[in-house]
Amino acid sequence: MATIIVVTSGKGGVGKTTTSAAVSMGLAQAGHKTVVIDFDIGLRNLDIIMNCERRVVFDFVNVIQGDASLNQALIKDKRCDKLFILPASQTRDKDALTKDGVQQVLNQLKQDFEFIICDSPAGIEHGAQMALYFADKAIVVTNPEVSSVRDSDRILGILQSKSYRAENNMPPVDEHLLITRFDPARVIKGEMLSIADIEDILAVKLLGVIPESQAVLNASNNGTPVILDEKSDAGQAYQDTVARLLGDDRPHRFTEAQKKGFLQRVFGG
Amino acid sequence: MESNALKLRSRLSPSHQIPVSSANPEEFEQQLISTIQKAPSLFQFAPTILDVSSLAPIPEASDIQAILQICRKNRLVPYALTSTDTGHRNIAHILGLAWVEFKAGNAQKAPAAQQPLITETKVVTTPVRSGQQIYAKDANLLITSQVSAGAEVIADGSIHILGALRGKAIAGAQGATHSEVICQQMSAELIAISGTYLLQEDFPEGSGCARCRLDADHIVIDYL
Repeated sequence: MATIIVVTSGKGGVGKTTTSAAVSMGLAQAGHKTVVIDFDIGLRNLDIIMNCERRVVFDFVNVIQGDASLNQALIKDKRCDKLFILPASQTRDKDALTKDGVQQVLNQLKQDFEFIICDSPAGIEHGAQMALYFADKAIVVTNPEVSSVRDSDRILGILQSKSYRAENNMPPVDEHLLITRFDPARVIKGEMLSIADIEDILAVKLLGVIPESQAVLNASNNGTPVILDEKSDAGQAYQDTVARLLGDDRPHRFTEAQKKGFLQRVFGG
Repeated sequence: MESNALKLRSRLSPSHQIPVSSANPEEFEQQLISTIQKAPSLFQFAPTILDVSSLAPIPEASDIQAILQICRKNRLVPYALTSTDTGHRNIAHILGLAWVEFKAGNAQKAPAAQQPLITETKVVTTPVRSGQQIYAKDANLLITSQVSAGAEVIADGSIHILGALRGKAIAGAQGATHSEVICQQMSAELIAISGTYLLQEDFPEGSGCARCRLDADHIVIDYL
């Protein structure tokens, strides 16, 4: 039975697409056949981060409208043969997504895949609601900042009340909190919300903490999901996150400020 | 022909209701003048209803006629009589005045409707998130989790929150003044009870478990 996971946040620019790319690559590398769908119709980004923008022929909307088959639109990742990408349409808008159309595509994907990752657009309107509607699990991406936390709270409310599971009295969507762009040094200075603050406000179990890292921007620019950058702290944090998603119990890393070593203090660093 | 028909419109307009406590014209005039002197402009040709309830036994029409003349002399325009005793109605007819039922409408019933007996309790076990609104109609509200900033919880009765309250809580939404808001961690944006509200910036110093109640016309927050 396939699991549908939505990556959502309410607020834009917090790292939904970065997370979708990293988590889907991580699941595929762990041997699970995974497809990642870009729901951000009109603002297609996932294909760039996955480095397949030159291979897009048909897209999600073409499949929904019956202009192309699913197999024609799915793009196989060149680095991992268990990972497929279903890109968004750049020339349409979010109204092209219909509940029936999305359900049909998801049902078809469920036959072949173990994990279906839905990369949600920002906001709480139609596009975001379509992305989360059929979800079994949700990864709510939050920055340690008040407005991002507030928006995540709002999206958690929508998961609780407007998802397929909520409307059909099924067990609720399994909610996970992923804190991104976390900087422990700034928490100590009082410039950033702490992990405990965010957990207290949102009351959702913590899936992972991704530290603020230069590696994320480099990865986006290179079209490589940051999880493949095994030397970077962000890459390692995403690997932990994927392991926890698969049921592994791992301690949270990169949550405390690193004390500078003697040499770093002498030479700067 | 139809074009000549009158177009009727119904309207409400305020009138003074003046109690006539004595059928003795001199005594009444004295009382009236002293009342008018307190606010002369209020009584300039004001439409007036005379309340003759306290005149018993039922006086003669001529006695009331004398009272009417005193009113007109003092620039009042009496146009109707009212009384708790419908026996006075006949005088109104004789004098060509309107008759108005004593306390038209059901003013006496209104306070009873304001304080309905609330025995039901609506229970919410999931967190109330930003943007969500919970309304417990004709019921108290029990929330076993938290209420986030930007959320609204509303009840016709009292509200109990076993977690943190960071949103708005509106108790006694239909006017039940004895309603209260009780929460384990008080960080509300706004507390309202029976139409009276208090904003966070006006809260008294304190934190933690709190009880909010209405005292006369302002909200009291007791930290427990």
